[in-house]
Amino acid sequence: MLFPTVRFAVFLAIVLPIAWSLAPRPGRPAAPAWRWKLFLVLASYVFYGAWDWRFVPLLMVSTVGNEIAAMGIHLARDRQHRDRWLTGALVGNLGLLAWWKYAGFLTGSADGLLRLLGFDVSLPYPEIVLPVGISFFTFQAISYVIDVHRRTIRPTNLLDVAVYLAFFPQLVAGPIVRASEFLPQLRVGPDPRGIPVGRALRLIGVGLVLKVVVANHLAAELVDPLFATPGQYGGGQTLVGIYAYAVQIYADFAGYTSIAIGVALLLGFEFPQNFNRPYAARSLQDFWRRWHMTLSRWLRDYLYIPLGGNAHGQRRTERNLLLTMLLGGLWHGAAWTFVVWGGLHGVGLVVERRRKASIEAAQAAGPPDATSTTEATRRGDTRRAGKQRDDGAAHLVPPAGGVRPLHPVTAWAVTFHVVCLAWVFFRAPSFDVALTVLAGLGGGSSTVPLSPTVPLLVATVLLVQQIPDGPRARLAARWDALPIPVHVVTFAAILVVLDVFGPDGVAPFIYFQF
Amino acid sequence: MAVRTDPDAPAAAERHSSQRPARTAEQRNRPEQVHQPGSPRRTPPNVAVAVVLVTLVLGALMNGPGLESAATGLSVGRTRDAAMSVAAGVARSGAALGLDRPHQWLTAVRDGDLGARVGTAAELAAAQGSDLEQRGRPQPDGQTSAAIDARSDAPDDGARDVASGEQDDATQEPGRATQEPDNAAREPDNAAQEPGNAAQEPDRTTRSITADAPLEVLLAGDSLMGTVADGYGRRSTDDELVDWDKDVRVSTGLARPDVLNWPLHLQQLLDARDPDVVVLLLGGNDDQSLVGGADGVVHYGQPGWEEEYQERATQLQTIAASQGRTVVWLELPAVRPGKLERARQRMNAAARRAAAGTGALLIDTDAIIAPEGYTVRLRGTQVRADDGVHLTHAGGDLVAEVIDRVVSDRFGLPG
Repeated sequence: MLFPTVRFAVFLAIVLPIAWSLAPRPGRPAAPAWRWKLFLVLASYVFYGAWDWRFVPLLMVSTVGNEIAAMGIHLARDRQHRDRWLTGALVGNLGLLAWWKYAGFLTGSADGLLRLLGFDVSLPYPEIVLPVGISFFTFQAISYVIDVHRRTIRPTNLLDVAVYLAFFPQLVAGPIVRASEFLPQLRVGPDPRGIPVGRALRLIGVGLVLKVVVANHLAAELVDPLFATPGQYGGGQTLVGIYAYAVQIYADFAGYTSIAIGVALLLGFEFPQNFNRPYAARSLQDFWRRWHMTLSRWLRDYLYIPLGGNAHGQRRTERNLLLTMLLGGLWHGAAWTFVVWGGLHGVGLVVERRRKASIEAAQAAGPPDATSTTEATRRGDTRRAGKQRDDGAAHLVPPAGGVRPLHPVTAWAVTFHVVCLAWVFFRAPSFDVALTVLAGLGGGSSTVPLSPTVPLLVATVLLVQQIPDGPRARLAARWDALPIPVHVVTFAAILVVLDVFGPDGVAPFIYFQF
Repeated sequence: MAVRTDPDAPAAAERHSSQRPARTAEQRNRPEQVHQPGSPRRTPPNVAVAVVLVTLVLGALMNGPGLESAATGLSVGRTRDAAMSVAAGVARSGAALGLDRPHQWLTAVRDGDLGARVGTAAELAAAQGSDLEQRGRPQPDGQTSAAIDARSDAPDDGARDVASGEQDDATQEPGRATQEPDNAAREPDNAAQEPGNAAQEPDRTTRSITADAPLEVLLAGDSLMGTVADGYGRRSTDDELVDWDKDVRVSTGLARPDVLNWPLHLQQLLDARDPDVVVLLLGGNDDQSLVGGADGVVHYGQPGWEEEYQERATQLQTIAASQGRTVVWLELPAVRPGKLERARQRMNAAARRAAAGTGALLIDTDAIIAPEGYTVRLRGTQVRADDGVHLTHAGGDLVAEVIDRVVSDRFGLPG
C-alpha cells in the first residue's frame, strides 16, 4: 500500500480512530493495552499484505525468531551463551537478508566471474521475489537483539516486538527506529498531552508534495530518459539531469520518511529525524550527518564501532570507514554499482580524515591560521571564527602549509558534486550507462528540449536547503501554531495540487527496493 | 580503555554509548532526536482524530474528479462498482458545494501551461461520440471487418514469412519461427494484399530517407515497452537516418479504455508526430476483464474475451497502419508462470489474428529472450527484472536489436 493513494487515505481513516479508541490513556477506564498493540500489529500486517500476503509470514517468522533470540540472550547464564545466542540471531537475520536479497546477486557475480575465467557454465539462478522493506525490518530486528545483548534494553514481550518490527508507518522504507526508542513509547502508550496535529499534517503534506510533485516530475521529465538513453543529451542537460537525480532521490526518500513521521505522530509515536538539509553539507562527513540519519547511526553503532571504530590507529580506522561504507552501499542494492557508490563515499571520508589530521597537526605545530579566522571575522561570523576547525569544510583544506581554507561556498560545491558523482553510479543500471552519462558531461548541445520546470525545481529545492535550521524551525513552529482550520484547508488544498499536477498513477518509492 | 568515538564516522559520534550521559526515564521514552525542537501545540486525541477525518472528507470533496478517476482504475468487480458509486456521490456533493472549483482552476492552469494529459477518463468521456469509432474499429459491414473475416481461418501460429530472415526460415516449424532472434520477426500471410491500403495510402517504405528527412520511429506501449524503447534509443542515438520517440504509459492496456483509451491516445500521437514506423507492445496489464465492449464488460475467462481482445488489437493496429505506416507488433514475452502467463498466450493468439488482417509485422519476443521458455538469465545475462515480467536493460537491448533489423530491412537502411 502506497502512501499517496486513496486506498491509504481510507486505510488511515479506519485505523486512526480505532487505534485511539483502544489506546491506553490516563483518565479513562483502564483498557488492556494488548488490544491496542494487537490492533496495530494486525493493521500493519494488512498494510504489508496489500503488496503480497505471502510475505506476512516472513515478517512473523522474523519476529518470533528474534524474540526467542532476545530471550535467550537475556536468560543465558554466562557471557559465552549470550554470545552464542547473539551469533545465532545475527546469522539468522543476515541469512534471511542474504537469501531474499543477495542470492541472485551472488549467483550472478559468480557466474560472471566463471565466464571471465573462461568457464562456459551457467549457474542456476535462484528466482526470488524481494520482499518489500526486508532490509529495514531486518536492521531493526538486529538492533533489538544487539541492544538486548549490550543490556541497553531488556527484552520485551512478543506482541511488543511484533509492533516494533511491523509498525506500518516505517515498515517498508524507514526511518530505522531503534528498539530503545520505540519500545518505551509502546510501553507507556501514546503521549497523554495529545497529538501535534498541525505538525503532523505539515509533515505529511510536505512529504506528499516532495514525492508526488517534485520527485515524480523530475524523474519523468529528465532523469529517467537521461539514464535510459544518455547518448542523446548534451553536456548541459546531462549536468542538470545529474543534479535533478540528486534532488529526485532526496524528494522521494525524504518525502516518504516525512509522511511516515507524520503518520506515526497521528498514532501517538515520535520517530527520529531522518533528513536534515543534506545538500547544505560542506563535507561528506557532514553529508552523512544529514542524509538518512537513522541508517548512518545504525551503521555507526552496529557496524563501525563493533569493527573497532577509531580505537586502533589510522589504518584500522580507515579500513573500518571503507568497510562500513562499502557494506552500506551493498545494503542499498544487490549490484556492484551500489558498491562503487559506497566506495566513493568511503574513499572521500578517508581523504577528508587525512586532510583534517594534517591540518590539525600543522596548526598544532605552528601559529593559528590567521587567514581563516580573519576571513570568518570579516564576514561578521564570530562564532564560526572561533570554531573554524570544527567546520566540516576544514576537512577539505589541503594539508600544504599556507593554503587557505576553502571558502564555505567552495566547500559546499565540492561536497555537492562529489555526492552527485556518486549518485550517478547509484542510479545507473550498469557501469556502461554510468560512464556514458559521465562522458556526456563533455558533450555539446542537444536537440532534446529541456522542460524549464526541471532546473526551476532543482534550484528551488537546493536553495531551500540552504536556509539555516534556526529560521526553519521558527517558521515551522509558527506554522504549526496556526489555528486548526488553517491546517485542514491547507492540507485539503495540497491534495488538490497533487491530483492535478501529479502523474497518472504513483510510481513506487525508490527506497522500497532497498 | 580507548574510547572508540570518531568524528569521522558516518554519523555524529558524540552519542556513542561509552560517553553518553545517563538519560532520564522520560528521555529514554523518546527518540534521541525528535523531528522538531520545541513543544508544538498538541490537540486532544479525540479532537485530533476528528480533525484528520474532516481533513480527509474535505480533501475528497475538493477532489471529486480525482476520486472518480481512482475508482475507475480499480479492477472490475463489486469493489470497483461500490467505489465508483461513492466517488460519484462525493464528486456531486463537492460540485454542489462549489468545492471543486480549485480543482477546475488548477486543471485549467495545468492544461494551459504544462500540456494536457491525453486519454484520461475525463477526456475519454469528452471524446465520446467522436469520429474515433468510425476511424479504426472494424464495422460490421465494413472493409476491415471483411478483411478479418477473410483471414479468420488462418491458424493462430501458422507458418509466416520472416521479414528479416532468409527465405528458408519461412518453412520453419509453426509457432515460433525459429529459436534465434534473427528469425523472430514475422509477417502475416497476405499482408501485401490488404485491401485498400496499398492503393489509397502513400508507400512510406519507398521514400527517400536522409539526415534531413530521417525515418521517424515511434515506440509505444505499456511499461514493458520502457526498456525496449530505451534500448532502441541507445542503438539509434548516433544514427542520423533514424529519429525515434517513445510513449510509455504505465499500468495501461487494451482492457481498460476507461483508464487510458489507447486507440484515441495513439491517434493523437500519430497526429502530433506523424511517424513512419509504429512499434507497439501492450498486454502486460490485460489479464483482466475488458471494459467498454459492446456489451459493457467482457469478463476475463468468459466466452468472447479473446474475440473482443482481437477486435481491440485490430482497431489499434489499423489506426497505427493508417497513411501507409509500418506497424511492428511485439508479442508479449513469456512471463513468470501465473495468471498473466496464461492470459498472455490468449492475447498473443488474438494479436496474431489481428495482424493477419492489418498487415502488422509480428516479432516473437519469446524467440529472443525466452527461447526455451521463461528465464531470468540468458547466456549469463539477466534479461528479466525481479518482478518476472519486465525486461532488464539487457533484455530490452536484445529485443531492440531485432526491431532495428526489421525496420532497417523494411526501409533499406544500413544495418
